[in-house]
Amino acid sequence: MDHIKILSVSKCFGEVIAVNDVSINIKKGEFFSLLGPSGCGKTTLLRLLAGFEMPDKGEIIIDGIEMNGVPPHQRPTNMVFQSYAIFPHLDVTANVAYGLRKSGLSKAQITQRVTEALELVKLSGYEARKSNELSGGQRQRVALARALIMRPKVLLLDEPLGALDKKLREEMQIELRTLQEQIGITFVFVTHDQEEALTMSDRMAVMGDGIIQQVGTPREIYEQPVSRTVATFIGNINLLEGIVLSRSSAALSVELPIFGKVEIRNSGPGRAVGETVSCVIRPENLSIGASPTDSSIGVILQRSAYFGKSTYFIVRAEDSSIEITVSMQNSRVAPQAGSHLWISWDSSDLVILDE
Amino acid sequence: MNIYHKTTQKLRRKLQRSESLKGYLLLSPTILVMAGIMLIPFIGMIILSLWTQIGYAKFDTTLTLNNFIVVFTNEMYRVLFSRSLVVSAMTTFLTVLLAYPMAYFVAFHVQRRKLLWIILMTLPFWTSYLLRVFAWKVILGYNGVINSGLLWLGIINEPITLLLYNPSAVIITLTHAWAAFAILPIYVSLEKIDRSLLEAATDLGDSPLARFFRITLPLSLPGVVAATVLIFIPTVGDYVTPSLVGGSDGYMIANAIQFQFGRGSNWPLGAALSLSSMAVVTVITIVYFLVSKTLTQNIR
Ligand SMILES: Nc1ncnc2c1ncn2[C@@H]1O[C@H](COP(=O)(O)OP(=O)(O)OP(=O)(O)O)[C@@H](O)[C@H]1O
Ligand SMILES: [Mg+2]
Repeated sequence: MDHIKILSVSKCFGEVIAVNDVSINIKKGEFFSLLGPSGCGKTTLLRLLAGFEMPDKGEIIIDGIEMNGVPPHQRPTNMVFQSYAIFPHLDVTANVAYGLRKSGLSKAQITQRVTEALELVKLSGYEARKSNELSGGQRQRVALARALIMRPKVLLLDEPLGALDKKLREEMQIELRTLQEQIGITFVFVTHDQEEALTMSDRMAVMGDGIIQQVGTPREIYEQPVSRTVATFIGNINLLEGIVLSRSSAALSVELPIFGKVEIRNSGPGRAVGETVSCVIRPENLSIGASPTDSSIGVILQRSAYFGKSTYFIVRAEDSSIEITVSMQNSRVAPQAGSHLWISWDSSDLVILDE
Repeated sequence: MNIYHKTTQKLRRKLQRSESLKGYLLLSPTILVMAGIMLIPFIGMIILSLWTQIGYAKFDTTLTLNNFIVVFTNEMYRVLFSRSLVVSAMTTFLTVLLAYPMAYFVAFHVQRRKLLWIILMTLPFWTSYLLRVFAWKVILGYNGVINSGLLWLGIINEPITLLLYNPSAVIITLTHAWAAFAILPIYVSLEKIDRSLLEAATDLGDSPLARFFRITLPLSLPGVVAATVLIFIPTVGDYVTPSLVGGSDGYMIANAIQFQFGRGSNWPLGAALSLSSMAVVTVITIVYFLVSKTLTQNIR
């Protein structure tokens, strides 16, 4: 069942179209990420869900109730702000209990709920601290507890991990995901970090310039990007232009630079013979070796980049200036630039873009 | 030569190490000027207040606390003190009450050219203080704007004398005169409030009114406190406004001080009066500061 329905929603700020005809359905209990570069309208879309902005066009339905005209304090959503927005004049307890004042709970019940919420985010013992006495990670937990204590149907998170260092961020990613599975409410999570979106989400949407580029599971987005924007925004990728030589119902035969003639699974819209198509393949789907195998192609190493757990080799064919990137894990050898190498691939890893 | 060299080197090293010493050195011209124009006259006042006047500009220099005894036992001064404090407190209260919505409006509802709005709001205060006091005389007077307006409307048959020459006239005039000084600090503290805090409060279920009392007001209290102090201190000692629009009922402590240094010709008593009023204001301000500090800390 669709928990949140966003139906062709648009929002403009003067000349800027921040959100452009967006339609997404989000399921109940799903961890859904909105991923996109800075300024693409992620925050605006989240604020539309929270009710801080009203759509110019389209409608939003949460839990079967039409949300247009419903103010933020009457929506079944709560938000964790990008800046955390911890009330500076209140201590942690008062911050977390803030939304319960009108809940009709007794003082003891409120204390009980606060204790539970702080335990949930592992912040017991910090009850009396003020916001300026907390670290970034702790502030983030207070913001989380403050929103979760309201028992919202949907939790909206605007780049909640953006201000944390890499190590803490990775810890919090796991914690947040565990927490979400534990309480089972719908999370809509905004991030501009593609790895974060890929590791945490059940499903995700890639945005660009206010438009939804692709919606799908992380695996679909990563392995079957539909457009150039998605392909290049998510991870490192090799993009090659080729010409369709022949077609059957199942496959296209495409002439690509470096790779030569390849057979690619035909999934997208029909392509005519002679048409130019864009193909992509991930660096990690290519393998590289010092000696030829039966299906490999000889290349020249231009340069390499070491990333610890993997190394990127940038290579080109002898007869072409087009470069492609190959990644390899745990490489023990460090070939010199200019040396001859052989690359091979599985043609099922080649994807034709829709555009 | 060698010793001279060594000491200068030592001094220089000390200077490089100590930030506070550097600070004081940089401030030294200011400190000297402050000492010249504040501290020396202040000490002079203390000494003067302990003398006794025996003729024009002639003093008995034996030290005595008699003047202070007069200040604190004379019924008239007690009345003047309390009237000054009440008038000043009322002025402060009304000014802040008036200035808060104006500052709030500019901070939250004006999108562009906020500075222009602030300048426009403080524009009346660019004219002379005296001119503004006289303007109120024209408005509140026997043949003034209010009286002639009411007469013309037929609401009253003869001019009301209740408007001018009493403490409320002083309060009205002072309130108008000091409004600009309250708008600025309140505006700054409102402007500083992170807008996402307000959104967070709304998100957690607050109606706009609840949000104002739980977030906006507490966070703007530093500005309010600054504004009250900024207005309370100078208005207690104001003597121009009460002498122009206050009449004999609106007489304040500063008028008594002015009288003692002028026609009353009792400078030591005048000095004792000013020192006492200074002490009273200082104590009140400190208590106010402490109370407001604990209050802002404990707001839930
Ligand atoms: N209140 C506003 N007034 C005018 N323009 C706005 C407003 N809010 C957002 N915009 C514009 O809308 C576009 C989308 O902004 P938004 O904040 O949604 O981006 P974002 O994807 O969250 O970016 P980031 O990753 O940097 O937070 C931007 O071009 C921004 O300048
Ligand atoms: Mg944003």
